[in-house]
Amino acid sequence: MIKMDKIDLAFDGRVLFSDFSLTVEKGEKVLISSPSGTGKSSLVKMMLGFVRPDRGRIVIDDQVLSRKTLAACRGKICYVSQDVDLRNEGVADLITEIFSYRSNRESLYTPGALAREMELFDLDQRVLKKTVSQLSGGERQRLGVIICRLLNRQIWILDEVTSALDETLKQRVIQAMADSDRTVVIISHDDLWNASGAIRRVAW
Amino acid sequence: METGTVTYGSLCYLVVLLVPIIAINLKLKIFINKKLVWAVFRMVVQLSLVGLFLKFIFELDNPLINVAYVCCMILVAAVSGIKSCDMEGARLFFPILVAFALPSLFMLAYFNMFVADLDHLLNARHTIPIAGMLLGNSLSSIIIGVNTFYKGVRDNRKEYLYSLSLSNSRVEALMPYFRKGLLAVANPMLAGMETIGLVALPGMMTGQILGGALPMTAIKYQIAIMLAIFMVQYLAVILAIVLTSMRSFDSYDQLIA
Repeated sequence: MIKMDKIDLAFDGRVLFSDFSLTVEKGEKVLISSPSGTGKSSLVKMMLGFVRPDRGRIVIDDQVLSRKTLAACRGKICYVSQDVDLRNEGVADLITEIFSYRSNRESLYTPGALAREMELFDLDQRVLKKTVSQLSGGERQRLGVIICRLLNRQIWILDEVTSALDETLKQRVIQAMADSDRTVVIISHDDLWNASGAIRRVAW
Repeated sequence: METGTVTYGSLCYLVVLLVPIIAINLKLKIFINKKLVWAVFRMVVQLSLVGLFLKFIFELDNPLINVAYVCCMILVAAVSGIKSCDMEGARLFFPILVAFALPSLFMLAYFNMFVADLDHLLNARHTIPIAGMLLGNSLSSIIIGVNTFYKGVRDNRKEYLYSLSLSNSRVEALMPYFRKGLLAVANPMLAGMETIGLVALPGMMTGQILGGALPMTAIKYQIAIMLAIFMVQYLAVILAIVLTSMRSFDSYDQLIA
């Protein structure tokens, strides 16, 4: 569950949020589709504890986000950033590194599980041998989604993860998200997300 | 052996050679003449003063004075390190000071005790030049290492945040930039070690040989010094990055601008 309670946030003198509240229930799927420049990314960054609101509080699964609960809160969220900002290194090495992080020991990752996910999202095995800069936008997005699913955290935050995919793959990603039992926050301009009845749309 | 002695008079022969360089700079509109003259002037004055001062210190050879002198060198190194790293002095002075002091002082004592095998541990003739060598090299490597590290984090903010969300640990998320900083220091050092003597004789050895030492003596000292410098630089960079980063991120893991 994510609860944002009476949030104020200004950036460079511009007010992005004023008295903003939003609750995403456990297991709910929420699509945020406000126009560009209205602070969608900032909203996500506040949920992840990267940006501190000027006022208001953020609750992640009954824990108020603060300095003390930061690690616990972040550990519940899996975030896929807009450009899937992985370092430019070998994809296979990065995946090994990510799943060897101390907090990821309980992930679903095994080479077999990775292969199944890659097949599900039509991602060629050869991708593993490439470096990140050699990947296309669509390959990166699918890789981000796959890492997110394997991390097995309770909350997923997906920032524009379908923009570079073709219709069929978009459908597949949307379906996978709608079918999951996780709490999912989606930022997207893709109309296809709207079509899925399981997703609540939020805009401001 | 005929040792040619360099005098202030003979140095003038070299200084005269700067004139064509100044002329070229004027012609090509490269505006560094003022800087050049000032730098040469400072070098001559500073080194002359240091020479006089060292002569005095060597004659005294008082362990307390030697230690005090080394402490001054550490302070100056820390101050100029902070300046060149574009860092906020007040917050980072102490971490940088420790990064300079610990490895150098340890190596200095170790070197004098076991390698140079001195009867009197704080002998001025060894302590001061070796400390200078260690600190001078720490200075350049701390500047390179620290700058590379923070530039890495700053230039790749999105990458850092994404990996922070994946790892949920600041240390793990910073590790790639830390490695980069350390490698930026270690690689040139190792390359230097590999080719040493083939292309150019290192400055210290050249000085010793010109000053009349036997080549084999000069070489043994050079190897010892190279190893000592390598270890000190390596540790100094690690300490500088680790200690400054403890004070450079806020409680939400964001780099303090």
